[in-house]
Amino acid sequence: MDKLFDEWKKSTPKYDKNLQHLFDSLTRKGGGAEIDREDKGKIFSNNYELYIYSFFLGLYNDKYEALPEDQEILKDFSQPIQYWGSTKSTSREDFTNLQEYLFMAVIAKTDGIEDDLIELDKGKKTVEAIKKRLHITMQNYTNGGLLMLEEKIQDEDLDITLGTSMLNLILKSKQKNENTLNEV
Amino acid sequence: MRIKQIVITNYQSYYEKNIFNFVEGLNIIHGANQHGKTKFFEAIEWLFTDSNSKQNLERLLSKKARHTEMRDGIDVKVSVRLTVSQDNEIKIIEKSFIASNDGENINISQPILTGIREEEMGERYHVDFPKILRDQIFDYRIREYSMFKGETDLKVFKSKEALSKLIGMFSDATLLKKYIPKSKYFVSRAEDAITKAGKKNAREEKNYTFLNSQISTYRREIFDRDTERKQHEINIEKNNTSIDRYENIIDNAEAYQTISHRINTKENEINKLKGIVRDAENYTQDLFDRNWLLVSYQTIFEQYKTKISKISKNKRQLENDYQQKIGEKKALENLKNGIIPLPIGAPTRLHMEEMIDAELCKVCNREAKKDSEAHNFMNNRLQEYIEAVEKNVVEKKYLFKNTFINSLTKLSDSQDENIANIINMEHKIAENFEFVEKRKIIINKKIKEKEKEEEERAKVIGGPEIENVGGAANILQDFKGLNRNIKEEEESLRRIKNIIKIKTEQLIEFENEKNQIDIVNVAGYLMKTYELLKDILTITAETTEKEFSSLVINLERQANEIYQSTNEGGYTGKLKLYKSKVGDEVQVEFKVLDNFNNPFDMSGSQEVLAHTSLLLAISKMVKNEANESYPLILDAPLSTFDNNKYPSFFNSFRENTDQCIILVKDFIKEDENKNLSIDKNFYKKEIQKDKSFWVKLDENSNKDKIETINSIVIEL
Repeated sequence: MDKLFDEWKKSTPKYDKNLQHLFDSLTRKGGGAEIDREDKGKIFSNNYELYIYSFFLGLYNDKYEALPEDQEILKDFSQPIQYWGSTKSTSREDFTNLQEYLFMAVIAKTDGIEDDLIELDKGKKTVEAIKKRLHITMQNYTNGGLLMLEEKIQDEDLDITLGTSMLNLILKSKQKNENTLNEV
Repeated sequence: MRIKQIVITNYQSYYEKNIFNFVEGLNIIHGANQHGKTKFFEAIEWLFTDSNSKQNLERLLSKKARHTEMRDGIDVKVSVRLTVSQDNEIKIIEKSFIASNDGENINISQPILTGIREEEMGERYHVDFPKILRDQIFDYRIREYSMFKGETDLKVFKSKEALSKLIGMFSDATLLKKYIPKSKYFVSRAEDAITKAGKKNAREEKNYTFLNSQISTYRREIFDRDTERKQHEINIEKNNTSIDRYENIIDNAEAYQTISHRINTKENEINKLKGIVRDAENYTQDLFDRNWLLVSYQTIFEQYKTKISKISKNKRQLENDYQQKIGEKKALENLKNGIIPLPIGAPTRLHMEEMIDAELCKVCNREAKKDSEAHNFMNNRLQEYIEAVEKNVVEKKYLFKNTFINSLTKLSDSQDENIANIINMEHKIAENFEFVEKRKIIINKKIKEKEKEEEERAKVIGGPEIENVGGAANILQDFKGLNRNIKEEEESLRRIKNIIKIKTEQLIEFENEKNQIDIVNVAGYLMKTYELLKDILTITAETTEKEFSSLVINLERQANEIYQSTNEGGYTGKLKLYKSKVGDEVQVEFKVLDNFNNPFDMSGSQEVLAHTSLLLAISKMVKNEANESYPLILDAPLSTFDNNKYPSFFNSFRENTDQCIILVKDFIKEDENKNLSIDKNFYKKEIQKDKSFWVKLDENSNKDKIETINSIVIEL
């Protein structure tokens, strides 16, 4: 069976170069002691954690911020999705299963992907073309999430040294979701 | 004597002039640690002491005064002034010195003591000898039992001499006591007179001289042996005290280990719990590791499912339509030849081959020779059939070449089961928070318990001076040595006592013999004088001792009454005062015993109460015996107290003294902003007091900057 998921996860999504400082200040990349992370308030173990987090934050808060077309200002951290969440650390759990949830969310949120998929199965569109469409969705939600996080930290003085700060943002979006659902 | 006022000026933390106006009854001074409570106490002590090194005096100068007035070149007077009423007079003593700054050094003047008396009629004058006035106000011997700094001070009665000295001071027989040596002197003079008279008339002079020399030899020997006996008794007493001390140390060492072990266990438990909490508090990490990120995922998943099932359905529809179209196209092509053929495969392939072989059409029963039109028709028909069959199998046409959409459906089916977990996610996160909170409460509880144990341990260390005695090996060696010594001493004592007994018996025999001769030879009046003087000696000695004993008994009764009233509702043992004689010295030992006269195991607060009860009884005794009462001043004796003990403690002082000043660190509350206030529990009815004060650092004081420290006095 042609597995679109297997094809999709081989690629690496991008983000806005201008938001690089968020990755620098919030993630601990390239190893180092666990203590470093706590001391410096670096709360994500690596870049893709912040990427996944921002995607879900954007997704739950409906923050879809289109990235510029210009490929020059886009950047990736050269780690394909298929490696996200795999760990050999004894203190961490493997969370590669999140890849499937990311994939499903991207499919669910890409408008008009229905026709493209039909064309794909017909053989009239390439996997690459589909992947490109899916990445735009993923990158734009992530972009929305990153901008939201930046705003929370800079304008609303979110205390990121608090262990619950990141979790609370996610839980708050849930409440917001439920409220909007109730209103509907 | 009543303290009316104490004024402390520029003394240590008391910057500028600070006035305490006291009343009769119970005065309570609150103060948090390091806010000036103990400095108040020390100020009074300083007023009553004479040693004043320059260095010490400089230390007493308020650092704030030094950094403000003195910096501006103004001289600063440091003083403590005490105003009391006594014998219908007002008496004031003040001790002071001047600190000045000559630009480089600080000059400290010699401290001056001044005394003022104000008589009943209002006449006021400076006294010439302020030290005498000071002693009149508060005799140092009484002061020793009136001012106590902390709980350890209160245990002054653990020393046997202290108590006997105090009781001796107030015994009515004190005056009588000084006649004992005089009586002894007169008795011996009378004896000499008798001997002289006896000699003159002696017929058997030789025998009389012998008796006399024997008597004096025996007396001397008995005296010497008695001195030896006293020395042994003192040695034994000393050894016993040391053994007690060592036993205490050994007990404490055991207690220390037990408590340390408990503290370690608590520490391990705390660390283990902290580890658990730490693991459960990786909230950001758990967003990933425990998939908490999916807490809002349910709707997204529904969207995916709906979308994929729609696509899949659409795909199938399209495929159906396509297949139908292919079928229609083929049927149309066949219709083009104008005939409606038999369905393909009729007759069957086998029948067709049989007919071709036989060159005969068995349908119309006509000959069909090879290469004839009919034979060719049959051949074509068979060929058409074979082709149709093969084409149908191999060349069926499909619209969709790929199966990507199928894989998407599979993904949604496989995740369907997991979605139940996601729905439950929020509940799981809440559970985790609850779990962490509960553990934190337990941790805090355990930390408190641990701190209590540590306090307990600190008390054990603070008890005997373990450091001063050296290591365990030394202790054991000394302890063994002491036990050996005491055995030897006891053996010697027994031997000496035996010798004294024998010698005394012999002496009495000699004396009786001599007496017989004297009665015959010496004039009656001389003998009677001698007897009389001997009686006076006995009476004086015995009365002194009896008087002392009755005071001890009285004191014990009083102390017990107070002790019982402060310990309502609980059995706390009885206070006992034991009188004993070591050598010529009388000692009084203070003990708390149970009903079987075994030492009673007291808690810290009970021990304080026991000592304060005795203290209050003494204060009452002083009042009775000296016809004057003195104030008690105590600094923070309550660290071992539970809240419920405060009322009875304070009441016992209020009821048993005429004036009392107690400094406590209790009843001060600190809120989250570190602001201090007096706990409202203090104002409850049960805690009866006549006046209360609060000494605290003013708001400009910064504990890290000594030059800003200023204690102020607030009357509550």
